[in-house]
Amino acid sequence: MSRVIVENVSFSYDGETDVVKNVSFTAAAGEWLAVTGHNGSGKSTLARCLNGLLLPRNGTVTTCGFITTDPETIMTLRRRAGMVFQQPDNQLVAPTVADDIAFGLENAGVPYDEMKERVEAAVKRLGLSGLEDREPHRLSGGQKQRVALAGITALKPDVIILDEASSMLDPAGRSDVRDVVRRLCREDGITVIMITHDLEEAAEADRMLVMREGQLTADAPPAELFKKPDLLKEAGLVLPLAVLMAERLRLEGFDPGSPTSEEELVRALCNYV
Amino acid sequence: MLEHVIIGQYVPGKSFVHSLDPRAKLIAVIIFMIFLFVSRDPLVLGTAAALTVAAFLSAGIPFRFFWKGIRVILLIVVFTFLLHLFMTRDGTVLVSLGWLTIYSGGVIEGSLIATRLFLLIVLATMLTLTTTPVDLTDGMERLMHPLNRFRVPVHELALTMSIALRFIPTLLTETEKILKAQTARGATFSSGSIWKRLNAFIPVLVPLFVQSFQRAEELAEAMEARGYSGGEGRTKFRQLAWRNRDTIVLFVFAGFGVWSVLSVV
Repeated sequence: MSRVIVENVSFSYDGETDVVKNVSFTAAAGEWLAVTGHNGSGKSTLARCLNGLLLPRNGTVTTCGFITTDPETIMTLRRRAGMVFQQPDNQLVAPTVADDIAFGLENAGVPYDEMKERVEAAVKRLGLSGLEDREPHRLSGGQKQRVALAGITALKPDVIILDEASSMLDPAGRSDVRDVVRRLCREDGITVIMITHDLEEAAEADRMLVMREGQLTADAPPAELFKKPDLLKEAGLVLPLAVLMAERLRLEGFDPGSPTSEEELVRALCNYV
Repeated sequence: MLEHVIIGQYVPGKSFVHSLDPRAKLIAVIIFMIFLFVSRDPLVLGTAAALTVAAFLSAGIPFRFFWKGIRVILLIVVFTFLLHLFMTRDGTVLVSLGWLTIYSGGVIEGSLIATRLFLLIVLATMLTLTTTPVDLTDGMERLMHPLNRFRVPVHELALTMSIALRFIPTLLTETEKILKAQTARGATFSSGSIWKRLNAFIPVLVPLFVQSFQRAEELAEAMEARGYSGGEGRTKFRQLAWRNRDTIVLFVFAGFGVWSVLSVV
């Protein structure tokens, strides 16, 4: 069964203009979705509909088997579908790393002994060993986002929603977060829904959704969408450098295949030589 | 400029004072605070001073660090001393210069209050320097837990405080960033009249406030997303352990309190 089912969802902040317009999609267990779009395309609003932070004006969202409009189950839903936000600073509540990882577990009323084990496991899984007692303001951006992810992993979630989680990070922090997300998705079978405007980041996903002015204009594997540059351009998205480069090479009569990341491009070029 | 304020800062360590239960430290400071102001007996004050020195020495805080941080606060102590010095009209006249008359009672009263205030500040600073804010709020939450029955939102208050403490360094960094940004735009903060200098801080405070509200909103959203729904049914990751040493410290301070009362009676 699908972990996330979005059916004909519309949302508006002011009751007049819809920011999300009649969007439908599903995400299966262990699937990695990238929701892409320009600023103001409604992608972050859509993300907030997935865990009931915002409730749709029309349509329904069912995450982990719970409908978001049911106040009885919303807390259970949020524990199973964690969310990482854009601003690393404004989502860490507790004064130390370990306390912060425990925050969600405390909310869920997990007994102390189990909580301790789970926090330790999450610290190890996310490579935060040695930072347990560190204060959030002494962490780098990438570390902060990993702490946020650890807090979610400790709850053993089925879904992780990343709302432009790496857009404020430097390249090192960015690849750090992506490595972790990859492991959580591919090894632990967690469904990942990644909101991003960076197509290089989206390239790794199983499916890529394109949002434009609140509407879902495409839903296909990234490699397929990269072959439709017009559609992406209309949505205000910039193709990854590797894709653009390959395109130009093709025009010049070469065949570099269809690389989506710089490494793949380099490999393709090396093969050519 | 801002990193010198040490009130509310925590210095990591493994000293005796660090290892005490925050509840014990809190109760000790409260006892100290109350009974320090009960007695005027020099011996009691001497004991209070001895307790403070003992606390300072066993906390293992570097003296220079401590001194740097407390200097600013000493101004308040000096000010209080002067206020009492000039305002008290008691005892024999020591100095008389026109409208200014200093009485012996003023000197005594001034020194007494200044000493008490100084000792209290030092001991309270020892508490915050050796206890992480989270332990401190945790200790308070547990001590105030009985008030829950009277519908006092103890958990919410403690959480609010712990979040406030968590964001102090973040806000300080932000303030410095804004200061630099405004300086780059030609603002000056260290010249002109006091009025001018105060005025110069308005362009710093406004963005700071705006950003703080935005932060608060985002944090609230993040907490909601992490399943926070109030104190009910919540478990605690922080466990406090009361040990013998805590009981001993409490007895020492209770003894001080009793003696302080006895010296008055």
